[in-house]
Amino acid sequence: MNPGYELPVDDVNYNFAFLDEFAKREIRRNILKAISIPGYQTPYASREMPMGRGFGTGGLQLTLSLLGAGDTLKVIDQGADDSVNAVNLRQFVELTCPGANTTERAVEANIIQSRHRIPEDKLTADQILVLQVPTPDPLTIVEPSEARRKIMHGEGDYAPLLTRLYEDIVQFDEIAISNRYPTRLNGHYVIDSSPIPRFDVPKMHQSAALILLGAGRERKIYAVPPFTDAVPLAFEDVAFRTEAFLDSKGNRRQCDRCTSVTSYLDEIIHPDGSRHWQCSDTGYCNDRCVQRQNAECEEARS
Amino acid sequence: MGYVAIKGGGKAIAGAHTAVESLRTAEGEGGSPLPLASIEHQLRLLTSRVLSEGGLYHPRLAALAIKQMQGDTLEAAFALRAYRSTRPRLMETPTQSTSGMRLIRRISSAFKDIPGGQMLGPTMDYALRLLRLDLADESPETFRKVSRQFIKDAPDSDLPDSFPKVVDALREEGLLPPQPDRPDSPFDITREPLIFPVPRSAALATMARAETGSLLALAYSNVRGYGNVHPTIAELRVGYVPVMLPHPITGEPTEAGEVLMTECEVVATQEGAESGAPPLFSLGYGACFGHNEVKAIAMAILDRALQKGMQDGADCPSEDPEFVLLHVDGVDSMGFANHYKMPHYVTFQSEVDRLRTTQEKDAAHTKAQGAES
Amino acid sequence: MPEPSAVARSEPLLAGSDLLRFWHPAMQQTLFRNLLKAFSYPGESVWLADTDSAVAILATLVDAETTLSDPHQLLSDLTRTRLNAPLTDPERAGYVIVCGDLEPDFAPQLGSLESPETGATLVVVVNSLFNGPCWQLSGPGVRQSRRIRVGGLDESWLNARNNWCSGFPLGVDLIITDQQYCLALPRTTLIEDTGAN
Repeated sequence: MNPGYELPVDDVNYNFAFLDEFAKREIRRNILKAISIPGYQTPYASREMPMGRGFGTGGLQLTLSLLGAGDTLKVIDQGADDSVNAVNLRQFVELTCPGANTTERAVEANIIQSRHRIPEDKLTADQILVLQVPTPDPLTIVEPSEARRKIMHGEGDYAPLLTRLYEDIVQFDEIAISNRYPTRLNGHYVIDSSPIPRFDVPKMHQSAALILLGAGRERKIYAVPPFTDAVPLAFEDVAFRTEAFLDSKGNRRQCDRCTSVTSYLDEIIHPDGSRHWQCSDTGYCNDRCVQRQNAECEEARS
Repeated sequence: MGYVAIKGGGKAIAGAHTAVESLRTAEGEGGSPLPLASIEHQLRLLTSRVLSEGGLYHPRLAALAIKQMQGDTLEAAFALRAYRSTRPRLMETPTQSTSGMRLIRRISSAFKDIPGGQMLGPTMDYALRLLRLDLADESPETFRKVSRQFIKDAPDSDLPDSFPKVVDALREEGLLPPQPDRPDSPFDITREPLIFPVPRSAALATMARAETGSLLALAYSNVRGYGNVHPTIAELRVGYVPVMLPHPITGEPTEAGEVLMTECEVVATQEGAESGAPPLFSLGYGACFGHNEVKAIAMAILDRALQKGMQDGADCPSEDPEFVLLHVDGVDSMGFANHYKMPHYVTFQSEVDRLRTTQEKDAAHTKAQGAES
Repeated sequence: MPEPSAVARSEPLLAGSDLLRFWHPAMQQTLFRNLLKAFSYPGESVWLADTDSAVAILATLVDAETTLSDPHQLLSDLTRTRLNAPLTDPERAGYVIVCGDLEPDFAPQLGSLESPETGATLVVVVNSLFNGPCWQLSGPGVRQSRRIRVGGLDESWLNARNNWCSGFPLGVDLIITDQQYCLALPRTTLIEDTGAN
């Protein structure tokens, strides 16, 4: 380094949405191709972001390419807005996207970035859901070579994957895949539905909202376009089943907090060893608690 | 009834940041912050490594990254890469030649003597790895005197500006195939994703910013037996390569600066020479920013292995381009390993659901069998 | 679902005839979101610009890393310079801009089974997105079905497009635009001519 060189310490103004315009344009081009070929894993260059690969950089690059002043973003992780990773991503967007708003209420957001959950509130055509994906290719478990997997996808050849599911049934009498459930879009490509629980997979089917999936480390973008068939792989005699949350008597468990009996629940072990259940979608749970409080106030008043 | 706190994530992050900074300054009252110049020079090999794995030649920023990341090479290289994402690309250099390298070190293990001569330069290869306890309490005076004395004693150089390359001599003798045609534009791994099969330029670029330890492990696997490269180092050179850019007005190539690089060319015995063609040696090439000989050698071995794999199909992991190139990037592999620390309780719940279901079915099955017998 | 044009119009527009405004980062983001709407809901007309919407589309999608073809010479030299994309023939380009009232007498890139995304994006400039023969659309992004009218398109286009898109995942993706609006017909959209005018 030249002896007289000084670091440009004043030069810390980052571009709107961090990425340079060429990077955004490349991602945007690929988003449109991903929508045109539902479920196809469109390769893109994937820039390094200032958080770890695997912490949502793929989803984040999609969000940053979508966001503009006036948009309202919700970021969730495990269903919660206040999970450390969600906070980190939200703070980064607030830092680099002046003019964009953030919210914790799904109904107020027009862009929702999420890891591991699809919100309980039904999404609308005015919303876009961005899901973070660690491992985008469902064929990885049966074929390690990407070159060969690309041909299998192109031909719609999922026989080895179905065989793997069948082996599960022989061994366990059940399909043992818990999350990242392989799901077929529009009768052709099978996608990794991202590590959402099976509970959320049916929400992809004929969703009014566009769903974009981004894998930063694996450099892939894919999409579930609105109003598109999304069918989890299954067999005629062994159905796809979502998490049931039944207690020992076969009754549906409810959320300790908001009493919902239709939501995905987190199992919580208290210090005394007792088990409790609570909504994983904290925004949904909070809204229901507020509604219940309001209703109780109304009752008390009348 | 207690509920799990769903607030506090932001506070926890701020607290973690404070804790990290407190450890950086834990020397307390007697401590003083590390100047970047000291990191750049006294920890020059660490800086080299970060420069090369970060894929950005900026020694001062590399030093800053080392300081900020408290010496973690993976994190420091990562910070450089993220910084690079924000910089627009203003120009592309034409292909640079290393023949004009201003050498600080150059050796060949293939010949006793080489045109231009062997030049050991700054190497610890033949130093005894005995701890120098005198460095534990080095006075600034002694420290500065070493540098002063070196400059004073240095003879007026009669070294030429550049040295001939050993592989050129081997080519002239017909022991190596002629230089392959250069691709019109090398594959740009920062702008295009790797879709296999990839050209050799994509493999070289990926390895040039790969994590040193990952490259070393894979190259080692090859030469130890999970592969068949028997390398001899034709030439290993370390020095400053002038970076030529077209002059903005005249368009003439103009020296815009120089970068410290390590370059290694290994010669290997040709496996299964094409029928009819005369047998020849084959070449493996490695090069990276900074002074990092292990990385350049490992890369050269892997380049040879991958060329073989690309031509004849892979017989071992280190010959498989997909296996090697998708697993040597430090930022990618470190990110993936780290992401397991994030909360995964939703998917874990889902896994528990599957396990309980299969356990119940198993129990029912066993019970039914017990009833039968 | 609200009119998508309302989304676009609520953004501050950098008015003026200067086409350079299409490259302003905030404008690029707005244009992209409208194109995204068009691709998400095929057949839905989306407002893009007061004029020169085809340039707005290319400015949002094309740069030096893509290839462009302009066989009907629809772009000015200045616009081509700004797009900065290497020009090639329509058989090889990733992005092709053509005049809809001319017969599609070329064979665009359809992509391959392994890499279908290399199928071309065709920007087709027409007279009107409101008057003309009536097509019925179905497929991803279309709830049940939707009818559109496109005016000023050579009658051989529908067949040509349906042939190019007959072997999914191979195919081309169309953006049809007049001066102000556009609609998208990705390769998954099934198009039938209703015969109504």
